Amino acid sequence: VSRMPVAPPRIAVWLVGLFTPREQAESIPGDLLEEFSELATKSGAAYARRWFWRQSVRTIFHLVMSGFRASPWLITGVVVVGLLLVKLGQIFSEWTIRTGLRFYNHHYLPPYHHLRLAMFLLNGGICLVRFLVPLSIGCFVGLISRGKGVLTTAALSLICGIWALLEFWNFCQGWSHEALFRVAILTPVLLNFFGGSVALVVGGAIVSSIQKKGEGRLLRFN
Amino acid sequence: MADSQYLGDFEHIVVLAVLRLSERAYGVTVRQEIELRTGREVSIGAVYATLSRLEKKGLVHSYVGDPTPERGGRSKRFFRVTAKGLAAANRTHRMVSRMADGLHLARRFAL
Repeated sequence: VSRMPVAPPRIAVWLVGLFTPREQAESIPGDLLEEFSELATKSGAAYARRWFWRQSVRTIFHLVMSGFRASPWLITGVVVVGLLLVKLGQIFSEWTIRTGLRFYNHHYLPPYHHLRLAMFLLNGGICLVRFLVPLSIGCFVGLISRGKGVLTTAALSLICGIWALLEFWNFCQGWSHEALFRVAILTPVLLNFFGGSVALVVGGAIVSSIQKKGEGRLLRFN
Repeated sequence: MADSQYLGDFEHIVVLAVLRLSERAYGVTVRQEIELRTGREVSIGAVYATLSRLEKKGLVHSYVGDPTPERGGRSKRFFRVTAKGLAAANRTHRMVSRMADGLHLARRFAL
């Protein structure tokens, strides 16, 4: 495979690959690359890159819509299961955090000069739990989605994201803008609210990428 | 149902583009042909979404070609219209023609 003189935007290529169904995993990205290299030679790299982004966004939109239309019941079912798991995951996360805090309070009292470090580690631990639990749920949802892992986790993430936005809105009530800005920047509060939604899609994307790589290897082997 | 199958607007355009291109019909050429003849920018995703829907209905069929370097080593998927697809395109075309018959659209509503 020869190298192209101008490379297309990597993120766009990755996103298209993520949303493309298995049966079109070669043809859609290949077609986009072919037209991109034609355009780059004819009209210049900057124009070709803009065209590639525009085409990628529109292609992803069409792939998402046709994916939903092709199997609406499978996606709805998996999203409902995912929402239940997210709820259970939240209960489990809170229980883990509360148990951890209780253990910390009873068994470990750091010297005063280590207090800030201890608080930092504690906050980090809480964020990690709140990220890892949805990440594993995203992976599980991706596994049971029969090749539509990214689509289902994106839908799940959208619902959870709207939910998180409402919770964040409630949390913001009564805070001054300056105080809110400081809280948002200095503490992992945004990660606490929205990290879960991001982690769900990351989980789905990881599973989908692994599955596609595996299939590619299998095809080459055959 | 299958005997009286009609095509949607965009499905009709895609089938006509595949017919025009015959042996050379794959994603890029179909997209470019539609853009050239309709003057409308079409995404490759829209073309593939329509083609895979048509394939599921048995109106087109596809086969994989050889990989090429300008495609980053990825292979092309070529499309051909089946006999059923051709019949559906004819039926749709006749229906649209009958509806427009006697209206003299070009003269009456030309902008």
